[in-house]
Amino acid sequence: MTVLAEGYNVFDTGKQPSGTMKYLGAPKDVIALIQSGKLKEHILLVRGGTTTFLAPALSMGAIGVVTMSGAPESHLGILSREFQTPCVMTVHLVEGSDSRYVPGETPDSHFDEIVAALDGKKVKLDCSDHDKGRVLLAE
Amino acid sequence: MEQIEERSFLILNALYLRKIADRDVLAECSGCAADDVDNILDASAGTGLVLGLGSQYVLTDEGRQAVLDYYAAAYEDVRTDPQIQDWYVRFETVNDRFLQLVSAWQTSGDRHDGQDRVYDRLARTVERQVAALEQVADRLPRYRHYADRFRKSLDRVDSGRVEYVTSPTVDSLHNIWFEFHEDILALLGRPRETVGG
Repeated sequence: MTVLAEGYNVFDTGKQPSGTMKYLGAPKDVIALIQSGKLKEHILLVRGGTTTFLAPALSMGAIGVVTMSGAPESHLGILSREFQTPCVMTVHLVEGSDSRYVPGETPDSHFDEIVAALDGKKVKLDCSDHDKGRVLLAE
Repeated sequence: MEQIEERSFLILNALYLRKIADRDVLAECSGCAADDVDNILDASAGTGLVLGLGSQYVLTDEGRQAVLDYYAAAYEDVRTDPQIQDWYVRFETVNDRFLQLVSAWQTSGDRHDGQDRVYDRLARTVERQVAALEQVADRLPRYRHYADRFRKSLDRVDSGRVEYVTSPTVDSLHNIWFEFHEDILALLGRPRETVGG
């Protein structure tokens, strides 16, 4: 299975949630998704591990989360463990880009590139490895 | 933009900090009476500041802005107070330790001895934060409520109710800490994305 992106795995789990990757850029995007009734059809992509506006999605039953920055020892990481929502943090693309997140030194283009590559794709999360979480292209 | 008064701020701010909550949770977090919570939520839904999602509520963009505008006006002097700024910088250091300990608690699983040791350190960190909150309570009276909630949850954990360490569905130590972190950032006018954790 094709690996699209890799990052820190927040907790080990045999769950392999799959769905269409959806980028959420603001609190209103989260609310709109919850109101649409389609929250569980999506793996959620957000920019930061400090993205506390994602909390309502976790409490309403989000099936999987991917972030482009942040560490498993963050409020979002802690919440994802509590809700047992598979979560991969600070992902980078596996092919076609060498760009990596560096705190305080990462241009917007890094995040834009990941959103362009993942948003709208059918994906599956593999969080079975202790350290590394993977975003797989769902066949 | 809608201007809010203090009582509305306390309840809408609880929703700003918690992100999503029902009426009972908002009463507990804000320290306001259930009747006040009901009245203000109903009025705020009417003015477009709050949105109901079943039994849960969230702030709209306008609601979030009304809360942030209240912070900016009410805490203008505090934002430039070097003592409060230093106090906040010390909190960020303690915050890093707290988040690491909570993560260690969550992942220590079935190793009970290890979990006890982690919890002892976690409780000491929370107790130090309670003392820090009391240091500024004369200047920021609202922060006494966080100290009271921390003490109550520490007592509950001591009596064996371990869900009060990290559960997102009760007034756990992590929930209270999370809310306080959002609170001090809004109070000082610092965007959430500029800090870790």
